[in-house]
Amino acid sequence: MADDIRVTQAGSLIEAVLADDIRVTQAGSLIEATGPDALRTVQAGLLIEYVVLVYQGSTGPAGQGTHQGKGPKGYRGKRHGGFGLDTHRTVQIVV
Amino acid sequence: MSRVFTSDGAERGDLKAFNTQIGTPSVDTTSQVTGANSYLCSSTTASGSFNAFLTGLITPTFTANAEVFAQARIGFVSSATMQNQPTPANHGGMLMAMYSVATIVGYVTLDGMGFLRVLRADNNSVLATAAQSLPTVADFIYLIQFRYLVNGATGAVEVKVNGASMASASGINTLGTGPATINAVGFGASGQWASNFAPLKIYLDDALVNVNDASGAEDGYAQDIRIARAGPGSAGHITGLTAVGGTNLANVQPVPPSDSATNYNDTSTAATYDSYAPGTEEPVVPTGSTIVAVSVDAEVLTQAAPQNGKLHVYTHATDYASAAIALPTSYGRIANRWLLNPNTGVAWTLADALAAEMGVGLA
Repeated sequence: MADDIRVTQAGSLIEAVLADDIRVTQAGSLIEATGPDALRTVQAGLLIEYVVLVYQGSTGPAGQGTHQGKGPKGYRGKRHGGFGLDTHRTVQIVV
Repeated sequence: MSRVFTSDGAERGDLKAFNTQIGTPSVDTTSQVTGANSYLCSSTTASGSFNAFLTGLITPTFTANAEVFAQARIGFVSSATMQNQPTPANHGGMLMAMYSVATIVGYVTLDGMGFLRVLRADNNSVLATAAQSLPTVADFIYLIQFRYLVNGATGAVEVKVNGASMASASGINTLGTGPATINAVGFGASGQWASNFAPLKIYLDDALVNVNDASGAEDGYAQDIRIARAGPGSAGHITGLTAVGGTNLANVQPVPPSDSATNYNDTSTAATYDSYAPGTEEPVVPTGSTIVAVSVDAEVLTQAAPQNGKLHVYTHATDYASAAIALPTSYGRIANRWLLNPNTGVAWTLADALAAEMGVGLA
């Protein structure tokens, strides 16, 4: 393909115009033209879906400084190290 | 299996789980009210328009008699005095909605008196109203669940708060003149709700959607499911991809990736993949929790479409690959969900889930 490879100066390195069209895989090796990547990845993650079964009434263990409390969702625990109030299960529904 | 919208993506730190964003919802990483991350949806005006809504497509599109179960954990950013406008026309703020393309079919609102309502969208008629109001105290978190069965005569609706039914109706017309199909579910904040006409402002997390197609155990309401995410913390049992612009591990750690043009891992060799051991999950999963599923996802592209990739989970010193997944030609997310530990054939234990390696590679 025109301009895919261009020698800009005698004795110079070969300049790859398109990213990854050329890659030297080992010192002293031949030049390998790899072509377009079949796969690129820039992120990976493991997601865990869970259900909290243990509810401890209105207060859970206190948060530890900047760490989140062990109570479900550790209400304010992460910010203030306060009580892990379980607002999720103990909120009062009023008329 | 009827889960069609598995994860809101807040823990990943971006909005990519949603196909459409209206207004300026954002990922909140500081308040920690609903988890490690949540979405912050703030209605920017009190006009009642859709100011901060996140809409996710559900696939396939469901035709007549669709029954959707949507849920999310919702918290209120600040306490507010309710506006004394309990009539439907002044329905306060919208929290959830079902769409047929761009048309809303049904929706849930929090009205001016703090009552949750389910409404039909074609004429904005109220189908069910909660018997009790909802305290909208700052940082209180509710699991709000929403059922909507579309039918002209035998439709049904329900809204639950923290697992308790607050409003329901059945044997009703939930269709009207509106569309019978459903192809998207939205969550967010819209409209006014407070006495000072302040815009509705909420935290949103752990959004899930089930659709009842009578095909499996996940028909109906989902449990009170929360989602934790662990990124790659160290190299796993195999490193097969070629790192460009960095190291294999560092290239897949940023969330969201900010240097994806120059730093990535690549391969053109079939069946080649990387595996990574997880770092600490956020939020920390409490001991004793029941694990519903483990998913692996990755941000990928191919320059030589069509190509298929595979995601891998490594547990009990054994690698398990997903089915082939078509790769997008620009960076996009692929995911695979394992309801059971593929090694044991039964539900994941917490220890196994936290120790599982995540892998991504070419099929």
